[in-house]
Amino acid sequence: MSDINLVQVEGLTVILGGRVALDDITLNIRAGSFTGILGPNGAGKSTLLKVLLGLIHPQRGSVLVFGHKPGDSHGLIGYVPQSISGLVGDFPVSALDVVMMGRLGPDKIGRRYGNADRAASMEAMEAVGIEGKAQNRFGSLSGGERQKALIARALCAGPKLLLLDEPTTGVDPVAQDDFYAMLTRLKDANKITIALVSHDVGVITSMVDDLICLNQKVFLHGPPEEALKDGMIGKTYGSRTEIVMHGHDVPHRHLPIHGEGGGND
Amino acid sequence: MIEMMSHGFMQRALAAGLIIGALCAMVSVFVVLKRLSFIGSGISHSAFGGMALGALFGINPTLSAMVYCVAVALLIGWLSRGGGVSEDVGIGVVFATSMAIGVVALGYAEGYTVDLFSYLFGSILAVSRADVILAGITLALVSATVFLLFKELLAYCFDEEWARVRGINTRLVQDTLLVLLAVTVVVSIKLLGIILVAALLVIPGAIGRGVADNYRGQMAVSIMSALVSVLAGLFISYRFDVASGAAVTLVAALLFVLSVAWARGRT
Repeated sequence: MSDINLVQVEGLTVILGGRVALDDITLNIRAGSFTGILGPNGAGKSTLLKVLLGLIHPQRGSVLVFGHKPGDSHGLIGYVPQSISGLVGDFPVSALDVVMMGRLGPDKIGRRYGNADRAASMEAMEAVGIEGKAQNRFGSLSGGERQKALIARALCAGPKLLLLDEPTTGVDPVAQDDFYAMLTRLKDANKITIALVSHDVGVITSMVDDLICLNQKVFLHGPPEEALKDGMIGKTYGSRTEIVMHGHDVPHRHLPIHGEGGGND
Repeated sequence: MIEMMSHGFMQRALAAGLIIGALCAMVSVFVVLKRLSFIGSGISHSAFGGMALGALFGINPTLSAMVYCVAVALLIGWLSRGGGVSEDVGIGVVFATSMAIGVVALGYAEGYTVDLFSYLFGSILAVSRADVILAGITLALVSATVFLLFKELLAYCFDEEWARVRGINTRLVQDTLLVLLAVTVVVSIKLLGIILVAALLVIPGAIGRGVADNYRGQMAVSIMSALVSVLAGLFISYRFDVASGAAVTLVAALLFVLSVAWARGRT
């Protein structure tokens, strides 16, 4: 991990549908780091990723990704969405077809996919362990396999930065553990920087190098230990919160203190 | 059959029908994948306004409909990307207004007598040699565009956000698809009719999607089912003197029902 910042955000404000989604936030993502972005629903986590991808244009602030404005570095960024629209169930494409979409680009318009695209896609599928499902219809894959296919799609163009938006939503707990172990392996093997959005406190604080607690504003930006130390997670979630520990100093969930309502994560 | 083919109008109808069948089938794959059937219907109804304006101002109605429908397609594209009103409201307003413009314009088109029934539901007698040539040129242009942009069109239909992340100009891809839809509608109107062309923009792609496991199979089944519908529909139209658009649509609908039954039986 280096001190070079791949992503630099300063004074970013985003207003969506008349509502402030992000309010004057400043943060950075270091090259080679595994950064977790934690916050409750509606905190602006996905909005932040979409700003970095150039999909949402901010009202105020400066955003640099690889030193360029968002959208100008699409060849260097891989993105794994929470899910793709409800159309995928019976969409007539194989897992390999979906992964090959990672090879799209403005320079390839008017050309068919070639052998190099196919080989890179198969290699990415092998890296995430679903090469045996290449010809299966994408909609017939399990939730975990679909997410792996979407990671392979993001990986097959050789990104330097991988952005993941709650990638384990709808994936069963055993497959989730497997998924996160795979992410760490990919990060080390491919020397990529990862930024992962989640509201899963346990996983995120035990895996990441840097933690950003976000709820419209940045409540914490630093090593995950700081979040556990002074109740920052509670402040982020907008309630007095206690962390439930389950051995090995790994927090598994946060609970609102009795009488305040709410749920766990 | 031999007697049927001895008529010049029937030869032209058949040639145009096969070309239009392939054209509609190709576009319908994307209409079904991206769920654009209401947009297809909106553009085809709008063609009435475009044709009638042509009649009013003494312009070739096919040319005026082409310009009008392409403009409507681009307007619908803009509305769907957040142009101020919701997409379905925009389409509803545009196509009803276009129909109204058509009725008013035809009322004022002096000396222009038009068989409204043929325009709305298609006629095998209406197809000229120039129409066949125009359909052929359109097929060549649409096929070339689909061939060159196939992977971008597929990615746009499957996951538009991802296509944007990869640097694809999805606005341009969407507008291109809508323009393909518009020109397909216009060259198909004489044979299939303004009301019924929308059927061939949806049904072949839907049959393909129900029957085939992948998009290549969907495209092949879509084209085959459209060609069968057109051939059988034109024969029925000639033999029983019914509007060609209605006959083609009924055959396509029958194939669709059979494909649904087959797909259900398979699972």
